[in-house]
This record gives sequence, structure tokens and C-alpha cells, in this order.
Amino acid sequence: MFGLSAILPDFSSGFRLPLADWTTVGMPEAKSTIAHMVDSHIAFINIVCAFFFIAICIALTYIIIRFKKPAGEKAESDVSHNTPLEVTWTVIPMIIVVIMFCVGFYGYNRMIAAPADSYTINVQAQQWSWAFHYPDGTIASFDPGRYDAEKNERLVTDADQGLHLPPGVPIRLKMTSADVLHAFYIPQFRVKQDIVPGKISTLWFEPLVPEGDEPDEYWLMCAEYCGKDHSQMFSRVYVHPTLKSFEDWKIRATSWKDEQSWEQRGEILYRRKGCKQCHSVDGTRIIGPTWLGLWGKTAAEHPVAIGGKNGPVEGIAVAGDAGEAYIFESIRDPMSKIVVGYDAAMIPQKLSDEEILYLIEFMKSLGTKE
Amino acid sequence: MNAPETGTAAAPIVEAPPTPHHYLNHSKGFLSWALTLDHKRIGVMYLVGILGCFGLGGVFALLVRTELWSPGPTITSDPNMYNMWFTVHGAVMVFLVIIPGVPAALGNFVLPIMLGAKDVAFPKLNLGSFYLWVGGAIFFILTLLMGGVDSGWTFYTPYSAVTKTAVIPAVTGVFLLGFSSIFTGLNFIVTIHKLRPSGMTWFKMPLFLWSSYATAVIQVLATPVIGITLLLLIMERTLHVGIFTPAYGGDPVLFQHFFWFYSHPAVYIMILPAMGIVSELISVHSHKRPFGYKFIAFSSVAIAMFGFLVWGHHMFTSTQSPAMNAIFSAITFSVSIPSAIKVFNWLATMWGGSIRLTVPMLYGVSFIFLFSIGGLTGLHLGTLSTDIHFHDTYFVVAHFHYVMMGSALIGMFGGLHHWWPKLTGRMFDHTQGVIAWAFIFVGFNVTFFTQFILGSQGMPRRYYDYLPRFEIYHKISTIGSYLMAAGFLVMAYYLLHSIFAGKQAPSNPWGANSLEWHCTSPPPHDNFKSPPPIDDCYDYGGVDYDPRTGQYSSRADQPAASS
Repeated sequence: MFGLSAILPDFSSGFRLPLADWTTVGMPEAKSTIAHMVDSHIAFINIVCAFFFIAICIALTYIIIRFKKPAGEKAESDVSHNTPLEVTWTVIPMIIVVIMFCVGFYGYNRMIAAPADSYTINVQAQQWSWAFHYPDGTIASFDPGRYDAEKNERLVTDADQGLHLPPGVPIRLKMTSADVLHAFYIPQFRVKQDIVPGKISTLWFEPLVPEGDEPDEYWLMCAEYCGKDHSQMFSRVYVHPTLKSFEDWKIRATSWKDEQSWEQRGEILYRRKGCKQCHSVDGTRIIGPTWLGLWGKTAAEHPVAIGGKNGPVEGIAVAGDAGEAYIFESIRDPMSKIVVGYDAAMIPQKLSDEEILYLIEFMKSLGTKE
Repeated sequence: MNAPETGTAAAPIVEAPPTPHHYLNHSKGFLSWALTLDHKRIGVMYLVGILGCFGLGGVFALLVRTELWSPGPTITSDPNMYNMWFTVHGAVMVFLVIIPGVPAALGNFVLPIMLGAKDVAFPKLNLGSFYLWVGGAIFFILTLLMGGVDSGWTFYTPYSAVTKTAVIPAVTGVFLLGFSSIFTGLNFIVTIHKLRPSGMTWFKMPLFLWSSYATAVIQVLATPVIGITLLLLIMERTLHVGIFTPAYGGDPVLFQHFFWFYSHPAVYIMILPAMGIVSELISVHSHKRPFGYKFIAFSSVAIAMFGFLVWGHHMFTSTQSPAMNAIFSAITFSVSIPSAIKVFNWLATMWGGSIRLTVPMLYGVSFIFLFSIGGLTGLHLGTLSTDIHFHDTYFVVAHFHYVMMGSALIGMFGGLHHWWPKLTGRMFDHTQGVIAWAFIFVGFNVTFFTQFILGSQGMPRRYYDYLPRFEIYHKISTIGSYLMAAGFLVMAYYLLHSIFAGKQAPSNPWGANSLEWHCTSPPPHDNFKSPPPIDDCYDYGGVDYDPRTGQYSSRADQPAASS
């Protein structure tokens, strides 16, 4: 990265310090090729900190016990300074922090340079969901899981969604955001990168190959505050044990709709594409209007503001061909008609025409049920 | 230059009862406070306001901690509510409490007296600063009435430019508070330069003045940047100018640069005055001159200077270039050196002293302990390879609470207890003081040390809900916050009680020798009837203890007392 790196020793194999594991107590499992290196740096800093902290505590305690005196006693000493001593305790920390900087710098150099043979995945973040686009066109959406109060666990809802990764290959992520800042964070990999709207952020890591036959599973979390459901912006991450297992998943991921009706496909998309973050199907109000009973509403029941929240109000019947056209438009261009009483909060959704069709069928199924 | 606002100040100053004249009874009525130009009264008004806001910020902290007691909804089912709570907690504590805390409240009261001056250089500007602070506080209350703000105290774009909550009033409040801070800083710089008595050379100043001076320089130089940044944010929201928001052609990372260009130095605005207080506390309550006066003094200046050059270490994962990250990491380590020097020098100051574990001293010693943890964990965050994991997790939350609360606020409360007898003329109850301190000290560590573990394990910040594996740590942390709250309630009780029923405070309850302890408690309106003689403020040889009365007296004051 710097010209400086050229004249210094090559640490291309990683810059892992030979320090015992117990010195990084409290860290999550180290599951990427750089994680052990990072942990060894943390161990080094922990040891330095522990040394100084314990020394300060002992000194503080000893001094208080030895020099605690009844009121009115004069101090034993009136020494004002001792330059050699003060220079010593200025210089020693200086040397330590220079070493610490260098350790961190070398480690960081290794963490930022993605190997040339990396497998690239495009990560798209938006409030409050993730989507993963693979080089061959496979698209997976996030799987945020759901909290199960009985088991006190966050359970997976759809194991074919989420970020699936091949084993033994460096992964390079090209990340974009549709709205505000987000950050990609998997603690076990020791990687984190902000995703800035209007820019492409890059991140790479290589997960360790799972030891058993099952994929290793992790949580991907959003680490940069992004509004209401920041804390729900999880996705399940799967590292497959073999390339075959990864390819099998891809087939499952692309053929998910084969045996499903349009309506069922719509329901799956409703979960996967983040619709459910803002639209309920049970009548509760979240951010947008509920889909329960939406289909079949008459013009009188469904007033919308044209061209924005404060635009002229007009009733729109959600039925027949015109109703389908209205829903199609509202997904593609959400600002064109805003249901009265709601904020203009939706961003245009990246869905294919086909996918919107499935969603419409799903909405119809909800409407007729009422 | 600062004529008393009512009548003459010619009332004779006497040490003894029946009704000694002092600044509190100098004049009466609402306007005698509201329009006062007396730095002491302004300091007291600040103190009341700041402690009130501390209570407000504390309530929001408790709401946040209570919500995090268990995963999922606990006391509110609306994440927006939680987001509002942590934003208001952060913004109130930073902008209304800690930044003005030491300089504006305690500094205003003590600084001119320490210089033997009658007042600050610009008393009217000083009152103006106070009303700007009040204006800022009003805008914060307005923000709350408008439903709060949920952008986080950092106001990061583009979220702050698009959120529907009351960003503009909150930002306007911060803007006003910024000017309050600038004017206080300006006042202190001029006061220290121009009103320093002729005998008091720079290296004879109490160390609190060195740190106040260093702080004031940062306030004047850094604060305008946050002012203009927040104005741009308002323009972004209202006029869609396109500086920070990509939708209008702006760059969100630019906001982060602007924001931290102020807000990192602001960390030193918060911590340096507290370090100055601790230098005083350790010396006075060890009854020994500070060890390495010049190293401590220059380390304050060094921190102020380096503090301007490290803002990028908040942005290692922000898409800032790797080269910039490396440079900011390197400079960041340079700040750790003066901080380490201070800790070692405080310990050496205590060595060979005559230590009294008074309540202020307990806070002083706690500061050394807590600041060591806060400072050392900064190394994890300054190191590039390790910060990537810790960034934006509870590790950072724990680190800055150790520095902002465990150090800056603990230092402020140490100073509050140290100067309380001078401020109010009353002594607080020692035993109750120790009890409150113990609750706060233990509670603080239970709350925030746990968060280092949470952060190490990968718990991100600003989460309304969390993975169940973090639950036990969140529970411990919440219990700690309640212990702390109990401690602060006890403190509020005995401090208020002391005002009405506390023992009369002597001029010099701790056996100190800087100038504020040579005037009566509370000080008279004009502080000193004649310019006090300047001697070595850290020479405790001339301060005698009378075991019969349990009080200290300074030989230098004897002739004055007998007149």
C-alpha cells in the first residue's frame, strides 16, 4: 500500500503473533483466515494493557495504604520533579505504541488487499434488509430469522436465503446501499465495512472451511445505525463445507418457484424482499398500509394523494386490471400515489415484472380472505 | 472593568458571623441573578442547569438500559422510541452536560478566583454565554416536545437528512451551545492572559488553569466547524443543497470528516478540564506539590494540539482510504503519551504525600483508575487491525463511557465536592458522600466493564433488539446502571441537605493553598478586598492544621483575619 511496505519485511503469510489463546478471552470464535491474526494482535494489546493496568492498581493501592495519614500531618517529601524518571516513563510508552502501530498496520495491510482469485458477490443493503447477487445471476435475499421466545433463540426462517458462501475461496464483496449508511459485520470473521450510498464499498475475507458435513452458520449484522429497524437488519450466513454443497444450494435458490403457485411465490417474495418490514398481512399498521383486505377496496375506501403526500386526493379502486396496474405502479414508482394518512416513505423496489405479478396474486389472496 | 451591578461593594469583609457578606447575599431578587455579571453567580446558574440536564440525560440512560434488559420488546414495542432515547441521552449528555460542565460551571466559579481576579475579562459576554446555553437547552426541550430526534447524537447523514424526527431544532440547539462554548473559551483565554496577576508567571499557575487554557483554545478553534456543519445539515434538509446527501449529489463521508473534526477535539474539551481538576485534587488532598508540574502542564497543551489531528480514527471503516487510516492511526497513538504521563505523574504526586481520603480525593483516585481503563482500551481502537472488529460495537460504547463518564464526569463531581464548601459555604456529609461514591464507582464498573465483553463478542451499538446470547451481559449492565442511579440520588440528597442544614464551611476545609482558599467561603462579591499576594500555590508548608477545631489555616491569611 505504501512505499514504506517495500522496504520492510514481507508478512504476506499473515502477521500472527505467537500468543496464547486465553489472552483473548471474550472474543467470538475465530472463523476466517485473518481472524487468528487479529486475535493475536488483540492478545498483544491485552497483555500490554493488563501489565500497565495491574501496575497502576498495585501502585495506587500501595501508595494509599502507605501514605494515608491523619489530618494535619505534613507530607513526607516535597520533591517537585525528577526529570530522568519522567523522561523514562515518557519514552517507554512511546516505544510500545510505535510497536503497536506497526503490528496493526501490517495486519491491516493484509486485511485490505483482496487476493486476485477472489469470488465476487454483490451485496445490496437497504433499510432494513440485505440482498446478495452472485456472479452467475443467482440472487438471494436476507434471512433475518425470527425470535423464538420459548427457546430464547433467533431461529432461521428460510435456510435457502441468506448469504451462502463457497468454501476455501477468498470472498470479495462489492457493496452498495439504496438509502442510508449501513455496515457489513460478521464478528467471527473480524471484518466490518461501512456501506455508503453513492459509493461502492469493498470488503474481502476467506471463511475457514467447515469441519463437518453441515454448513457453518453465522449472523451478519448491520453495524452502522440506519433507523427504525437497524437492530433487525440481520442475515444468516452459511459457509458450505464443499463446493458441491454450495452449487446444490444455488440450484435450490434459482428453482425455488418450480413447484409453487403464483400466490405462494408471492408470499415467499413478500418475506424475502423486505416487503414485510413495512406492510403487515394481518391488519396491523407498520409503516405502510397493511395488505390485508387491500385487494377489492372501492375508490371510496381507498383515497390516495397524487404525485406526493400533499398532492390532490383521488379515490382508486383496487380491483380488476386497473387495480393491478395501480399496484404495479406503486411498487415501481412509490411516490406517484401515496395512500392518504401515510408518509411517502417507500423507495422504488428492484423487482422483476414477474415478481411483481406474483406479489399481486399474493395480495389478491389476502383480499379475498376478508 | 466589571462594576458591581447594584450599588457599591464597599461592605466591609469580615470573617466572623453574624452575617458575613458574600456573593450569595450580596443582592437579592430574581433579576439580581438573571442579570448578574458576577462570574460566581453565573457559574452557579450554569451548575444548576447542567446538573438538571444531567438528571434528564440520566433518565434517558436508564430507559435505554431498562429496554435492553431482555431481547425483543421490554418496556416499549416501538424501536423508534428506543432510538429516540439513546439519541437524546447522548446529545444531552455531550452537548448540554459534559462540554459545558467543567469550564462553564466550575471553571466560571473558580478560574477568576484562582487568578486573584475580580471576575473574568468579559463579564457581559460571560452572561451572554450562559443565555446561549439556556437557548440551546430550550431547543432541546422543544425537540423533545416535537417527539424527539432519532439520528443518534452524531447526526450522521444521509439518515439525519431524511429522518422525519425533529433534527432541525436539535441541531439548532447544538449550534447555540457551540457559540456558548466558544464565548466561554474566548473569555478564559483573555482572562488568563490579561488578568493574571503580575507575580503569577505561567509556571506558577495552578494546573487547573493550564488545562482550562488548553481547553479554551480547542473550544475557540474547533467549535466553529461543528457550527457550520450543522448549518449545512439544516440547509440540506430544507433546501436540498447536496453537500452530504448522495441523492442530491453530496458525500456522506464528508459529513463524518466535518463532524469529527470538531467532535474529536471536543472529547478533549470534555476530558482536559477534568484532568486539571484531578491534578488539583491529587495535590491538595495528598498535601504535596504536583510531581512534574511542567510535564503535566505541557501534556495538557500536547493533548490539545494532537487532538486536532486524529479525527479520522473514528472512520477506519467509513471507506476512508487505507493510507489515511494508517496516518490517523499513527497520530492517534501520539495522544496516548501525554495521557500516560499524567497518570504516572499523579501517582508520583501521591507518593510521599499525606493522603486524606476525603470525598473529593475518592473521586480523584477513581479518576486515575477509570481513566486508566478508558485510556488503555483506546489502544485496541487506535490499532488498525483490531479496530475493524471493535468499531461500532459495545466495546466503543464502554471505552467512551470510561472516558466521558468515568473520567470527565467523575472528575467534574470530584471538583464539585472539592469546591462545594467554597460555592455554598456549607460542608456536605462525609459518610453519605462515601456511600454515594461507592455506589457510583461500583455501579459504573458493573455497567460498563461488562460492555467491553459485549463488544468483544460482537454486539453492535444502537440496537433495540439483540441476539439472545448477549442477554446475560445486558442484564448485568442494567443492574449496574441502577446502582449508579442510586448513588446519584444519594448525592443529590446530601448536597441539597447540606445547603439547608450543612455545617458552616471554613475558608480552607482541605488544607489547600491556591488563591480560592484564601478568601472566605462563600467568597465575597469581589473575591478579594485587595489583590492577594502571589506565592507558590502548591506549597503546603504554610498551611497549619488545628486539631482542636479540625480546621486548616494559612499563615499568609493571619494578618488579614485579625484586621
